[in-house]
Amino acid sequence: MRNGTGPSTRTGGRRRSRCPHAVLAAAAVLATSGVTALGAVGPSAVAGAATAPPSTKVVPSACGLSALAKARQPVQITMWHTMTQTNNTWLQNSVKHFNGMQHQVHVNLVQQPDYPSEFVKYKAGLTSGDLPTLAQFEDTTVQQLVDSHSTVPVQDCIAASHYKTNDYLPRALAFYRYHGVQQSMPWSVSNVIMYYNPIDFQKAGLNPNKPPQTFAQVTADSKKIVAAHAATHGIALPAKPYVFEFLLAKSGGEYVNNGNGRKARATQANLTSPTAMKVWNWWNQLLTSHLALATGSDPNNIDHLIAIATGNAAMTFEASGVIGPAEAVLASGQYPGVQIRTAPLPALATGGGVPVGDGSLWISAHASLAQRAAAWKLIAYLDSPEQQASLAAEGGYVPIRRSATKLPVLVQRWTSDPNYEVGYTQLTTGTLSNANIGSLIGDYQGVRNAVADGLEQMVANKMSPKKAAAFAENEANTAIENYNSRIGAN
Amino acid sequence: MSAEHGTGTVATALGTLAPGFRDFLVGAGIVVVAGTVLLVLSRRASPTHRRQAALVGRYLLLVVLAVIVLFPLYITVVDSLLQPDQVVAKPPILFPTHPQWSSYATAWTQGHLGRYLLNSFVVTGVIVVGELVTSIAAAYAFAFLRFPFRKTLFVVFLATMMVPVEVTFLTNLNTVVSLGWYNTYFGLTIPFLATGFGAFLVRQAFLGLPGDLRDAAELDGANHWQFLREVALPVARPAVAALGIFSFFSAFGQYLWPLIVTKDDRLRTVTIGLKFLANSQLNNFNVIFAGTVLAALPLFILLVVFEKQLVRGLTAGAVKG
Repeated sequence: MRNGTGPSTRTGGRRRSRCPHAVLAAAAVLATSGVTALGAVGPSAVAGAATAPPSTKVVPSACGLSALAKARQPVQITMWHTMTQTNNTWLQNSVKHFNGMQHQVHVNLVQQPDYPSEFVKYKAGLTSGDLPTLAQFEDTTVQQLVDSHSTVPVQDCIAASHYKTNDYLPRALAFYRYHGVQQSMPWSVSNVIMYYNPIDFQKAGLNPNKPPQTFAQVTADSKKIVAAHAATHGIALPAKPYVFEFLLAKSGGEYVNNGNGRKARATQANLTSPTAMKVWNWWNQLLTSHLALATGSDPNNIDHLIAIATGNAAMTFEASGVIGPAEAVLASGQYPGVQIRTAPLPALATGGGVPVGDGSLWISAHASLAQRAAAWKLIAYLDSPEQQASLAAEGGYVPIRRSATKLPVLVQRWTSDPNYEVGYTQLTTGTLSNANIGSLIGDYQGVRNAVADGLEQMVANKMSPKKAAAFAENEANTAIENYNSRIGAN
Repeated sequence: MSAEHGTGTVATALGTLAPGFRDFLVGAGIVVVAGTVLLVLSRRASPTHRRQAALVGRYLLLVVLAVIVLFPLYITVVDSLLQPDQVVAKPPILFPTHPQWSSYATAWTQGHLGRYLLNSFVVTGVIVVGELVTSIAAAYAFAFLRFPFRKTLFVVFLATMMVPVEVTFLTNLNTVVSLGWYNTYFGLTIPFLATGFGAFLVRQAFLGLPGDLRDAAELDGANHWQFLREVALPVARPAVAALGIFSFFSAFGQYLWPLIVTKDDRLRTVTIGLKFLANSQLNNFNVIFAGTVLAALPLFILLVVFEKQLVRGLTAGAVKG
């Protein structure tokens, strides 16, 4: 995945900005309040462009297929992305190949530092006019982008080109759908999985091929691991909001009300629901009984992964994308007796599912009709089974097409290193429900900050789970209400 | 929160720290306590002993404070010279036995820091010079010239200091775009060439100028330019130097504005470059640290060079003869 910390980068700058400079404080405000820029410019900013189609109606002509056929070729388009390391190299090569194999479209790639910076730049672009033709945005931005009316729903292109989506994983498409209309195409997706050291399991007399599947099993296994001195703690629990989100989703709990924002705009967080309380209580119980090691909430914090390497914990949770870096660090030989294996996340009970996380591709409504169609052509190429298989084999991304998993490059990868397959397996299990479809929240970051604060109150200040959950819910509700009132939605 | 609870929290907090860092904190605590005790005790001792004890106590405190300030810098340099896996080793390695200087080369070449640093220098240089010139000129007018609405204008100047950056951010962007300065050095620098703060700071220094000096200069027939250059500026040098350094640091550290008013790598500054480097070298902590050192080096040099000037300026008397 992008920079190896997976969804961590999605969370971006916390409100308590680490950077002292005033302009960065502005960044934090823009990033967290979200709509400051959008609220100011919003739909009116699109007026100059070839008009934005509505987000909840399908307008095939807005995709511009016929305009592309008539346009002077090649049509130049710009794509913003946040791919780093080997994924960046992969993308460069893939796009070079695309530019070479046809002469209708020419793609210029522009790399942005990370998701939050990219999104702030995009929002400022609604003012400055410097906008990409298409961009890779993280999952948390769906509601804001829909509210901005600055993008063309890809459903217009799907309809215009009679594009078949039945090969896609339903979950991958579902997150980026809004009231039945596909807004963006999934592309670089991942999800949170469990990482564990099978050697610690062996030492504790546990079957290393049967990692725990439920919260109760995690607790029981942790007790054995600690008792046998296989590791200092059973599990390292990073206080990162997206980890909490995935555990809640897989346990069947909705993050916000109105069906996770799917039936109607979310107006309240569901952080004190019975299911959510079970997650809070379990988390707290592991910590107070010293079965778990608490690590930080900072998005870039990797103490929980290092804890596995140093024997401080036998299990932890993190995005599927860090498999590569994690294996690379362990392969350095610095940590003998440590192996890394991955497994699906545990939950309250078995049978749950998780949403996708990470990147999808959005087409800008500011682009000309021909450019929109050109962007769609690139999206269809990047989402093709061949490219998906190749990208998934490269890093820790999960292929979004079933047929991609049959292709030799990926079959080979998964056979030689089964760790890479777990994210896919997890994404294809469990029934799709509003709990695990992915939440639609305007100020998503504000809700995440609230969850991180709640976890910190519980971990560091010994607040009871009940109080911590109420504390977080209160803060999250304020964030949601503020956003909704700013855009005039309540 | 009860006292018991408080102690518990501190103990837990200490318990979660790396052992090396915990030892450091405990050691620092002991020295601070010892220094304070010495300072307190010195009040009761004989004058000679008192002076010596106070001196030792003061130095102990200063040493600890210096270590606290310098330790993060030190560990950054050390980590930049370690192997990637040594950076996360426990207990932490505090001295590189086999320094890996290659990390600096990697950071420089793979991070394209040369290009980014050059951009940062151009942008910062223009901003510092511009801000100094406009601040001195405005301050001179407010301090020494009589003109209508002087006070009102000054209050308006001051008022700009109360406006948060967020408020003017999009408006500035709009202005820059409509002037065609998007993705140019103009867009990167011109919005920062004049600040209310700078004018205020220098004006205060000018006001501290004794009336004797002004009268003397006027009697000697000095014009505005001569008076500014020969009399006012030398007196206001500490304030001007402080403003210059402040301006340099804030311009050099900008992240969001350069990111938003530039299109691609051509004009991006080193703060953005560092972010790219950190994202692209995730497994190579040493390279990230090396890049950080390289990017921060100009700031260190500036501080070392100007520190003396600052101190000398501060101690120099205004009325000497």
